[in-house]
Amino acid sequence: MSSATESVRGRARFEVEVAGRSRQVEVTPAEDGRLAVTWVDPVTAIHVTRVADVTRLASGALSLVLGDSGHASHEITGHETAPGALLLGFDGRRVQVRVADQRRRKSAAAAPVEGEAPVTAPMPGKVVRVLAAIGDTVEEGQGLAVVEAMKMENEVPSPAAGIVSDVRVTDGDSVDAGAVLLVVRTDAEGDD
Amino acid sequence: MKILVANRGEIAVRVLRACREMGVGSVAVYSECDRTAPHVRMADHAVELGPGPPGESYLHIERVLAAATAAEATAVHPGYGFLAENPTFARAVVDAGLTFIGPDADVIETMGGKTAARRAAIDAGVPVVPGTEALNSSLSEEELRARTDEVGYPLFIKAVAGGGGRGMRRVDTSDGVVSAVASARSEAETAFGDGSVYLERLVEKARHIEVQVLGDTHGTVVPFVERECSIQRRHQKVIEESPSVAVTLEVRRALADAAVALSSAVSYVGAGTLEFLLDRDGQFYFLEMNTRLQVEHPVTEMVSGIDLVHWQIRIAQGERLTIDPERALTPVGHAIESRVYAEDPDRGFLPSPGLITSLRSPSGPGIRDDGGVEAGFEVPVFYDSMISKVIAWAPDREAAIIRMDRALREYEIGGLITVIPALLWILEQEDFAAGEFDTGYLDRALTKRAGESFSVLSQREEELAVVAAALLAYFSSGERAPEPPVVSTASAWRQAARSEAVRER
Repeated sequence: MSSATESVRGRARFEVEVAGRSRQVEVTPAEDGRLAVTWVDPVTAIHVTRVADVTRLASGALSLVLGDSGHASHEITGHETAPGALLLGFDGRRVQVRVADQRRRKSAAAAPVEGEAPVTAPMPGKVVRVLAAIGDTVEEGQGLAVVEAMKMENEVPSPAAGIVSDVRVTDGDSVDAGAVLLVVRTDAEGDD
Repeated sequence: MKILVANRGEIAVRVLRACREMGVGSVAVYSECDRTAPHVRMADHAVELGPGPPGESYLHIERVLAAATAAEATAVHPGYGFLAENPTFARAVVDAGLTFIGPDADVIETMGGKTAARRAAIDAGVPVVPGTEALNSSLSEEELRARTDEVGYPLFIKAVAGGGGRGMRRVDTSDGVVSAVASARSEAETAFGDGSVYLERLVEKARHIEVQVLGDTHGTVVPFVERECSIQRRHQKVIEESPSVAVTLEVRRALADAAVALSSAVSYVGAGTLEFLLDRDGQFYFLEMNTRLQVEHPVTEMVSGIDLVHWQIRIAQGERLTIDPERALTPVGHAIESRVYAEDPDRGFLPSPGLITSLRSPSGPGIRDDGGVEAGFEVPVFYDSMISKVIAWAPDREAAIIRMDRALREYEIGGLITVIPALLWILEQEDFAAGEFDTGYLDRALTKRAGESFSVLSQREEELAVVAAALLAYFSSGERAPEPPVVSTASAWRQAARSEAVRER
């Protein structure tokens, strides 16, 4: 278990995206061990500051007591689902947010290849059927594979119209969430 | 008696708790990926069945029986799902000289076939939905239309061997009958290897009401106060409660009488549930019987104070039922159950298996959490997505809803996406609070939302999310050393075991 005071260091800035809106957030340690979190609200342009007494619990969750909100007490779980993507849980809600460290922003997710749309598994599971072959012309939204998990079959749709340029799985393969199943070339003209 | 629990997850835990309470020996079985599951440690003995896929583990009859022999079990409790309603399994258990905790294999067979169960109900004088037996496959088009006209519209074509909505077609007029029957037949043939279908009138705006019964080996059957299970998403129950706001004392008695008549007619032994449709005029129709313990049995336990699993075991030991029938039919307070599925309600209820990084279950006054997982456990992709059930009891329905809301907000599951935000939304609906719903209610309400997120944040919540995200990033970027990869204990141990094995070679 580590409390805030142990890891206190200099100020740090992050780009935080919640509810589709991005803001530059600064975290500044105060002398009393609390942390000040400040940003400019993207809708109202109002400067927001929240001073938090924060403790990391044994479970990994954060216990926050917000000094300037009448000592509002919150418990928040956070779990990294992908680099820079956090799944937060509090008060019965589940929220996906994105956080980018200002210094490491450039090394974020690899840029997608121009003209290629990967078709990825939405969850871990087993490939039950591949519904397209290399060279097939497909529509956006057309089912290209069926992945089964937890006794439920889910059709994976094509993210774009184009021509299937690669099929990377076969029936019966086990896949992780985000695994590339097929690739659709979106810039190819249908001139065969 | 030493009981092998042929199941996993929350229901295995539930049955094993009863074994411990009764001082009965117990044997857990598990698949490879369930090695670290809690049920393995809640039993006196534990036997591995095989790899994760159900066909190689929990559905593998010979392996389950071999486990019983290896651990010297004398009885088998099947739980629900898997082999619980498989007459071949029940027969094999008895043939191996063990006690099957449930009804006779022949009864499972009779009540498991939809048309056979209908026939048994008609013979016992229990009302059934107007319909037919299995249709003769050589019917001419005219004969077919005559049969459907006789049943009346709208109607359902259903597969005799059916389940999960497969081989099922809705027909509103006589026009589409012939093609609908043909496509239902071919779908049923593909899904179940049996293309026979029958007709059943559609009961509009009906509720799903069910009656729990216990039968002993001495001919006594005790019916319980009804359960209301109309809150369903695509025929899958989501929230259940007892009693039902739609059932009057008079209807309760009539349902109980019908349940006893049918159960007695088939000499039912053990715990079972008769499912009915209840229309808006208070008329009910028998649908089918589940010859096992149900997922939602705790709501009955909460309002009756009677432990159904204890009684399953006592009945299997030959005891006589000594439950006061009035007590079983007179609910004390109100109980609601919410099923916590590992599915993402914001992505069309997509299955979301994965590693549980932290877990705190709700507790406190009136709350019961029947769970089967814990922190550090990786929810496998192979099985049902239900990880736990939260049951709230209170003196009345309104208080039980408030208590359920409190408990679901208290539930902290790190790392795993669950349907809790959707459950909270259902609890908030005026129609739900008023008890105004039927089996199609939830699907209609979900369609109306058109995919809107269940976690739309208020301004305060959005601010909190910003603060939390920044602070979590602040802490993790402060940790200089790269974080060790997160692996489940199961794979870590397996990895260690493999390295050991390699070293020894």
